[in-house]
Amino acid sequence: MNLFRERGTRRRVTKLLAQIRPDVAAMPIHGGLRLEQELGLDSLAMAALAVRLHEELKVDLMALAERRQQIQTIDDLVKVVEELTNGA
Amino acid sequence: MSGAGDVIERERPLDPVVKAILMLAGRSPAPPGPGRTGSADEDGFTPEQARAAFHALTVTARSAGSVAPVGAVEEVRAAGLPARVYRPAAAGPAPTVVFFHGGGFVTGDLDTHDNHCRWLCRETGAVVVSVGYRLAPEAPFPAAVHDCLTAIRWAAGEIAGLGGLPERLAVAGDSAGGNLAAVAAQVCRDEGGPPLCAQLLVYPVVDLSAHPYPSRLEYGEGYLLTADTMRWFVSCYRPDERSPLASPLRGTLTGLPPAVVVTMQYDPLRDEGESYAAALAAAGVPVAAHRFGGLVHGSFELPILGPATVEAMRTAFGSFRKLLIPTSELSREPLS
Repeated sequence: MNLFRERGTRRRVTKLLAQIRPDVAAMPIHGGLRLEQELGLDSLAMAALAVRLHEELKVDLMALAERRQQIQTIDDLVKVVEELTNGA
Repeated sequence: MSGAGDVIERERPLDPVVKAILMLAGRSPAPPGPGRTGSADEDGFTPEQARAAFHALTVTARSAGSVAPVGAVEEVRAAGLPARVYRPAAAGPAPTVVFFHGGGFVTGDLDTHDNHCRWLCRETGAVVVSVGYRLAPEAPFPAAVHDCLTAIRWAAGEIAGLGGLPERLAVAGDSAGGNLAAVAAQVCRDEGGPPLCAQLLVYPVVDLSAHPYPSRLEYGEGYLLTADTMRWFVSCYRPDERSPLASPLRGTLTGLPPAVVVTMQYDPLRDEGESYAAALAAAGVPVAAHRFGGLVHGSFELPILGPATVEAMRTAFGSFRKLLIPTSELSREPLS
C-alpha cells in the first residue's frame, strides 16, 4: 500500500507532460490547469501523452481513450490514471 | 505480380490500437481556412504548430518496443540536403532505397519517419537514404520535387560509398513522400536517369485536384488525416495540380520501374492510390498492390505498432524486397 500514491502519480504525469510540451516545465503547475486551453495540448499532443502514459505507467490505452471526455485538467488526468492503474 | 487485380480486399473493423489513438486524438488540429497559405489563422494555427503536433505524436510518443534495430545509422548531407543513412545488419553490398517522408509537403522530417525507415531497412535488407527535402509554405511546389531529384542523383553518384549494389537504386515514400517518389520515377525515366529498379508508394497522394474520390468523401473526417487538413496542405504547397510533377496520376506511366503500391482501408487517399496502381498496370508496369484492412492513413508512423500494422509493414516491405533483390538472390531466407 502506497500512502502517497497520488503524489507519485502526479509527479510522473507532470514529467510526461513536460516531455510532450517542453515549455510546460517552466510553467507554474497546479492541478486545475486545463490541458487544452492553458497548457496548449492539441488533439495529437493528447494522443501522444496517452501513449506515453500507456508506456510508462501501463495505463490501458483503450480504457483511457474511452474516458477522454472526462479529462479536462491535470487533476482529472491524475484521477483517471490512478483509477486505471489501481494506484500501482 | 502483374496488375491491380493484386489488390488485397480485406475489410476489417478498425484495428484496436488505431481506434484508441483516433479516439484520443479526436479531430486533427484545425487548419487555417481556404485561401490562407501558411499564415496563422484566426485560431493562431501555423505550420510550426502542425509540425510540432506531428512530431509529438510520431517522435515524442514513440514506443521503444516498436523501434526496429538496424546495423548502423549515419547523418549525412546529400548534395547539401540533410539526410540519414540506414544500413542493414548484414554485411556486403545491398540495394539502395532513397526515401521521402510524408507530412503533406508541410510537416514531417527525418525524425518523424525514423522508425518507418528502420523497418524498411530491416525488412528489405537495403541501404535506406532518408531525405530532408524543403517544406511548404516556405518552399512551395516544385521545390520538394527538385530536392528529391537532387538526392536521387547524389545517391546514384555515391552508391559505392553507401554500400549499394550498382543498378539496384530505388525510390520510396509515404503520403506526400509517395507523391514525390512517383514523380521522381517519372522524371528519372524522362530525363536520362539515374535508372531506378523499383518504387514503393505507401498510401501516396497522386492527384492534387479536388476530384471526389469515394474514399475522400467516406473517410475525410475522423480517421486522422482529414479533408480539411488535406486542403490546407495543398494551399501551402501551391502546386499546378494539372502538372504530372504535382499529380503523377496525370503523367505518362509506360516504362516506369516496377511498383509496390500500399493503401489502407480507412484512408481518404485510398482510392487515388488504387487508381494509380491500376493505371500503372494498364500501362504495362509490373505492380503489386496491397490494401490493408483495419488501418488508417499514417499507420506506419504511429507511435505504437499493433499486430495489424506490423503484419502490413512486413507484407509491404517484403513485397518491395522482391523487386530490390536480384532474382538469383531470392532463394535466400527472408529477413526476420
